[in-house]
Amino acid sequence: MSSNMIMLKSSDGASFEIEEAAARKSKIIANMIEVECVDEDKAIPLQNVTGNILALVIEYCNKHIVDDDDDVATEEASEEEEEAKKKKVDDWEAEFMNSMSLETMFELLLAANYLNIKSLIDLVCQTIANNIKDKTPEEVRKIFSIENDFTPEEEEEIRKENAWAFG
Amino acid sequence: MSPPPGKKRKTKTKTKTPGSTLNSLPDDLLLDIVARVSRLYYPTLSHVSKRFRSLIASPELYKARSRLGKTESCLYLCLRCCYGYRWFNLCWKPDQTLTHNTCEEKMKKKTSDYVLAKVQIRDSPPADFSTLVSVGSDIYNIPGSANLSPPSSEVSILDCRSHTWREGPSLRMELYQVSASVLDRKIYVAGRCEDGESDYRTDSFNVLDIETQVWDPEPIPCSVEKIDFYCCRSTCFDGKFKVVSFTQRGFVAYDPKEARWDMVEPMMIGCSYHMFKDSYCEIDHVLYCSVYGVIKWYDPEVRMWIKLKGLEGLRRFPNDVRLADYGGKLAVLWDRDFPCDCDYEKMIWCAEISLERSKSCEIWGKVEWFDHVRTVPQAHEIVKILAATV
Repeated sequence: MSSNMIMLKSSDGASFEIEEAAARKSKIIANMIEVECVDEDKAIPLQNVTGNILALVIEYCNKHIVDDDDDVATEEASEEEEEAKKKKVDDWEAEFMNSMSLETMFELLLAANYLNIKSLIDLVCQTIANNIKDKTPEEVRKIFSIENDFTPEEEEEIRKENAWAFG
Repeated sequence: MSPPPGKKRKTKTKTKTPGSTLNSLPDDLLLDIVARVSRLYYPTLSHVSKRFRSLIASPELYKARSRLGKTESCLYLCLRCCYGYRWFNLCWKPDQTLTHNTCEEKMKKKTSDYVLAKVQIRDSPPADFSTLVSVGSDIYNIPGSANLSPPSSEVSILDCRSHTWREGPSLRMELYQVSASVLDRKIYVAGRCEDGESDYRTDSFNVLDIETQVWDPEPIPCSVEKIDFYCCRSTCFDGKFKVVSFTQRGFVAYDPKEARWDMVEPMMIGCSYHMFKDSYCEIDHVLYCSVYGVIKWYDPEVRMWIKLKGLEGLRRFPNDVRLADYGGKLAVLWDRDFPCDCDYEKMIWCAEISLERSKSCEIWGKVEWFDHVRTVPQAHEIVKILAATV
């Protein structure tokens, strides 16, 4: 794998250097590289991603590019080794997601979506989904700052529906 | 999507304005998140906001669950009552304070998490233990129950994603006393039909291909001597459709690959009797049955029912339980009558048991949970539990 470095520039003007292989985790950037609209001296501007979020994206891509390289090198790794490696990645991902606020998670998700990084979208969506379960509607609203936009009449309707379904 | 013009609640939730919230995500991303949440929680989520409500009701959600490989088994219960047939599905209780309108529940509130919620569907057709089978996200009802309804050839299909009934491909003739089972995306139906010339009914065997939605053009001849579908029960395992009837002491099996019937596996005396209590199901090619409240599995090697190990700590189940393949685990459902005010009510209980085969070929069960999941009037009668994949 080549270790060409490319530059990314966030919406708030911060520049990041990243290995091409890591940057290719983003389908958008990979496409840009394919069609050669990447000037080696110039940074790729990413208008929808702020510097703090782009730093997280790059941290994720760097981590996973190492893993992908490992995959190639140890094709004949034993099942146990595979499992141990998977666990290591899972642990890292859990720690990575744990370190950020919900608000950051949403921004990271929007960035991953914009940059089209499938595995990161999966990771963030799953983490948010895990936060949603086991909660009452009030708790979900509180945690995710969602406004209760039902009218009193609709709420009454829901209450009746509940009594009917669960009563 | 921005929240609608605020009215009264504006002052209540003053959030940091610039940050991203769940609500600021576009629909496709929110869909991706909700699709990863277990369906047990959907009734709760649909009460969060209007946006969640319409998302939970959208067909796109189930497409996303399939696309992401997040489909899961969902347990359904069919009950018979004086008004007809009612359907329920297993959910997570959304609000602990909402459900304590019977005396028994008042005593045990806050301990119960699972609940059977009523499914909002109208005009459910008459069904029986042997007429209902699940295939993927659908539950098929093959008409022709033993004695409860006039004969019919109309197959109905319950779509477990949208909770609506649709018409299925009609049987080629009216059947009586059917017993249906599923094998490799085909529904096999043993039943009885009018002979036409005499007053007698004869055996009839029909096969529905789920992919093409077409019944086999000719009923397959039931050539084995002594075969008799009178009040039979059927199951599918070992790649065969197996039937037990009152008049035989073992399975009669149809092998689809060879397209022929065989007399197989004469069971020990009394062994097939247990299946007539409708307390059986097949999971991963093994037949499970409740024998006087004890869960057993059928070992074809010795042609005997063997006790499921690991459940010793549990109280014995009542005689009459229902079993289902709940995504590879065993779901057990039973009821107990109890006095409430001046009447009796029926408490429905459910257990989820994971299964494991040991090296010595014993099967061990582990109770994941068991719970009181519903209270219904005493006159309600449990027809069947079965799991659909949604």
